[in-house]
Amino acid sequence: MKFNSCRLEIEFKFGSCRNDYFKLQIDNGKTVKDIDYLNPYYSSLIELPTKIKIITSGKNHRIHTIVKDGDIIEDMYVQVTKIKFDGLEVNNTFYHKKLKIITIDNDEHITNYFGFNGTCTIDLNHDNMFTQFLSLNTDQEYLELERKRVHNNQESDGGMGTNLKWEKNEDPWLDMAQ
Amino acid sequence: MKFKCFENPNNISYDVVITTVPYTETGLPLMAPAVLKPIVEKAGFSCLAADANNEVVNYINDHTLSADFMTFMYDEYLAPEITDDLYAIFYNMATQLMSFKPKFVGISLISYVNQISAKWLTWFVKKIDPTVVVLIGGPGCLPTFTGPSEFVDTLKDVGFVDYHIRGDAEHSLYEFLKGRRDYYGINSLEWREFTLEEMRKFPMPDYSQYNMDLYRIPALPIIGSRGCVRRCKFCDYIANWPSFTWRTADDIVDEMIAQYKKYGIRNFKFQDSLTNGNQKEFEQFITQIAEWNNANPKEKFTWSGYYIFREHNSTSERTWQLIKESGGYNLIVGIENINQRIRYALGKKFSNEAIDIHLAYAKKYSIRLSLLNIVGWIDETDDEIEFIKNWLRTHTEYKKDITLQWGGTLGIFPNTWLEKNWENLGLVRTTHHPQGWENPAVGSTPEKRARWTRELVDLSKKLGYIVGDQLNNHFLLEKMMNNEV
Repeated sequence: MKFNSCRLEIEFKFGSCRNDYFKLQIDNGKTVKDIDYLNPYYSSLIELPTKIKIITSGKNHRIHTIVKDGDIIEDMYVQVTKIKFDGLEVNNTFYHKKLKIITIDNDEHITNYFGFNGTCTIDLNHDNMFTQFLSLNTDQEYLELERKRVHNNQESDGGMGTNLKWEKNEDPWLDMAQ
Repeated sequence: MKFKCFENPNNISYDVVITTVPYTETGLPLMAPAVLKPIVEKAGFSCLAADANNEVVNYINDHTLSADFMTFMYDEYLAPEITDDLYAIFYNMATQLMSFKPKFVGISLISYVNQISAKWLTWFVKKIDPTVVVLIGGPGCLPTFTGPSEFVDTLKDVGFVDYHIRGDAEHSLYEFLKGRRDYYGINSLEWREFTLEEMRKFPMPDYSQYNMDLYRIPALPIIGSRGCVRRCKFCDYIANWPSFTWRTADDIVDEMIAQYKKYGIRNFKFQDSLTNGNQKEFEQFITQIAEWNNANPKEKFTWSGYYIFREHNSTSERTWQLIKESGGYNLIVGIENINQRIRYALGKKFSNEAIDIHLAYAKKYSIRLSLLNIVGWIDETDDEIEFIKNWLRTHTEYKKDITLQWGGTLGIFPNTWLEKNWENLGLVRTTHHPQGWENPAVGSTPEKRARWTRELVDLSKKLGYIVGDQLNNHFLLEKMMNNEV
């Protein structure tokens, strides 16, 4: 099947502290590639399903996070800024709601801003790029909210009467204004 | 689902496959592939004309989770429950289409709601054969008719689409296939309107590869004109076709008779913006078809199309009588707003008295009218919504004769008069969405306009009027009510 292979591209932004940068590695299950701040870009042909691991290391919080008066004024970080499949960019929801880093201390943070040593695993568990992309692109909370609202509006007299299932007009000519 | 329009049991090949893509809510055949098939053949290539949209619309409308498919079509979201079904739609559409081993694949988009499907169909097609040349065209490529298409540019950048054909493709597709890749409208912002003479010389649409049994509305589309005689302030159609051109009554009648003889179908749906733009030709058209119908009582034509109300005069009744005799069945009238003040302001200058008289004649001659309304004109007020409600209460004698379409409220589309003047009008754009605007002076917001629409829909239904419902308008209004526009 040809629809399970695609080019994965990930763009990063590196932030330094005391001129030091994170060490970043991407493991696509077959190869591990180092990414550095001079060329913060990863590109690889992948076959689904697979797991992509983004591994950050080299940060010493006593050295690489500078705090003054309770505020962080300088921090070493890596940020995922863009993910593309065959050139198609996944929308913002993914970066803010679906990227999770597990630190070496086993803490979990849902963010595209990685300020800890740890591993972010992107589980690409579909067997084709089409539904995989859509799955990553989907804001599940919004989807569920939308379904509830549609359902509630359908139930209440004051709603739009939207049906989860569309009902055809008995006389199709009534639909002519299209 | 498997596509009947792409069935290929004998492993036939075509040089060119042209198809529509979902989602366009209609029970009618979409014209573009049938219009372009004879053009392709004239250029010396074999062609399959397919209307995939219709089969997907039928499938989704019958599906228990049809609303979930709409979140895909609009938001590119995937509800897990439809994963397999959605994949099957696109997998089968692409693999069946490519079984014809085309050198060129043409994708026709009639509205922006087709964009997500077009994007994924082209991805599948290029995966199957990266060497196939993909052309894309139609008004759905653009947020409006003119200007750059960010959507197509993205697809070209990622290699899913090779050529964008802008505007009417009758000239440009022919020239493209003849090797002129620099012709007007091919990967360029400029394109050329038809002259009257050219419009009358194009070959008739070829529906021979459409399976007419699959359509909810057994009618053939037909084009009688381009452009419009009005200059409505909300309309983006006139930005693309600034001139009004029309076919003669003789020409249209010849096509209807020829298509009837070929397909046995006598129901026609005019797809242009108005059937009676040129009154003289329209009078001749209804006279000729009425004569045919009177002479051939067992082979009567019926037709439907967009129609404009004008101020009434002494010939009005005769016109309605001829419309009836010619088989005019359902006229779609952009009445826009029941308030005369608003109708005049937006560019439709006919009185409320004229509406009453036309309604009475339409009822007298049993001609159904679909009245298209725009709720929430830029400065529409609660009082004016009340006026519409009262009108509905006082016109219930027509409740079974008219279909009310309340639409998805006023959208401000690029290149319209409204879009060029919205700042001067005191409007505030809240999002990039056409419905995403407010008028602080009168407190008009998307949520308020959606609520007005809901109230008018509810009242219309309560009073017994027939209300036209479309799934995509429902979806839009839900979003507006939830402040998501």
